[in-house]
Amino acid sequence: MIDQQPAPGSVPGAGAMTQRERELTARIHTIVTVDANTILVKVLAPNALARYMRRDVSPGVWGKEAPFDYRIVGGTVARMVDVAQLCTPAEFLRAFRLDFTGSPFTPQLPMLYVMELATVDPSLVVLPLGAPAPPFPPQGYPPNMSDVRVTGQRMIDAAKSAGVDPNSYRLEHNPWPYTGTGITADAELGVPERWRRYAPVPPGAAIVGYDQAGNKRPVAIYRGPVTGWEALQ
Amino acid sequence: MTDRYPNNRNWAVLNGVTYGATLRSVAKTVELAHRGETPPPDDRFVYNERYSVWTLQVPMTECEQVYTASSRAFYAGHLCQVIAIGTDGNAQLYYLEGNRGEAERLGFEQVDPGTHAKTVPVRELHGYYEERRDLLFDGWREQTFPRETAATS
Repeated sequence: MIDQQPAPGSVPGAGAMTQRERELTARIHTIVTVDANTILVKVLAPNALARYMRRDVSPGVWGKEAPFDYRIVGGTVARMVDVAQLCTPAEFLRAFRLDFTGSPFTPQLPMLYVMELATVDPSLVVLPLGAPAPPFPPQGYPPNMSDVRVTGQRMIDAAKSAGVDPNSYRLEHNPWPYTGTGITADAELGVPERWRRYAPVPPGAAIVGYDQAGNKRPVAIYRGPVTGWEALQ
Repeated sequence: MTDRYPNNRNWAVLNGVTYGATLRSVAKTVELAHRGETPPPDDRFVYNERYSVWTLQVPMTECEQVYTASSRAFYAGHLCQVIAIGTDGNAQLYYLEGNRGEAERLGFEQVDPGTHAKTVPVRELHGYYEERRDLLFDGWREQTFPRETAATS
């Protein structure tokens, strides 16, 4: 299973698949494509909304507050069409596997904020394919990086065999719950993921909130670097 | 924060003058911004008192250059984006390469989905440069070398 917790000594995610299964998974990415008009979603850290609204451009405080610039956005994204079934913070947490080490996200968040933005430049967005790499400090898996590298290369081979656009993906070795398949690690709610390079927020991008009852409401819209984010109340 | 570095913005050059730019990609226009009370050389700019900025919206093709600047540097041999440089001499980095396990070994922390950040002394940065993504190229290519339409018999 794609979301199976890694066992000591094994490479989870793409490493737990046969080559045929990798190719079938890669074939999904010939259908899940991103063009200039594709709307992407980016889950925002709990404190990000306030920082966007106050036009924060700051180096942050190491260990307490991350560096921030209200005019740029990047990191893990997904197509909006692929997350349409997600309604609550808990569902987003599962779908995007926001349970990474040190995560500020919890299923009990009263409101989860998500940015919706047009792709505009598809070359800013890459499909991360490869294999889960050992975390630091080590947790006992996988046994060594050579297994990870072999698995990662097999995932790339699968993408080539499936005919995935070679300009659309890159080899990545990231800590679990990264799977290396381009799909997040949840058997029911997993979504095709992409990684957006850090670049200016396109005007017209919106921040929406999802509450515990599954309601979605618009919160703010981006008018550009001069005007910043405008609250929608 | 220092004013000069880093540079992670859109810019446009019109009649030899560089302006901060906001892309209106659907309309293929760009909004140019000039801060300060002194008007820019192009008299089409309009002053916005609320934000103390002169602005002008023009077709992208009217500009000599439109590009996204991105400040990059190597830290411990790994390519990073420089997000901020504080007056205390520290730089804030986002990790850009495809091995975030290695990033964590180097002390980067995941601050949001897909973003690993670290604060380092600015003196530990190597090979600082600006990447410029040319936003006029696709339009120029389409105009200069148009796609061939399907042949009709």
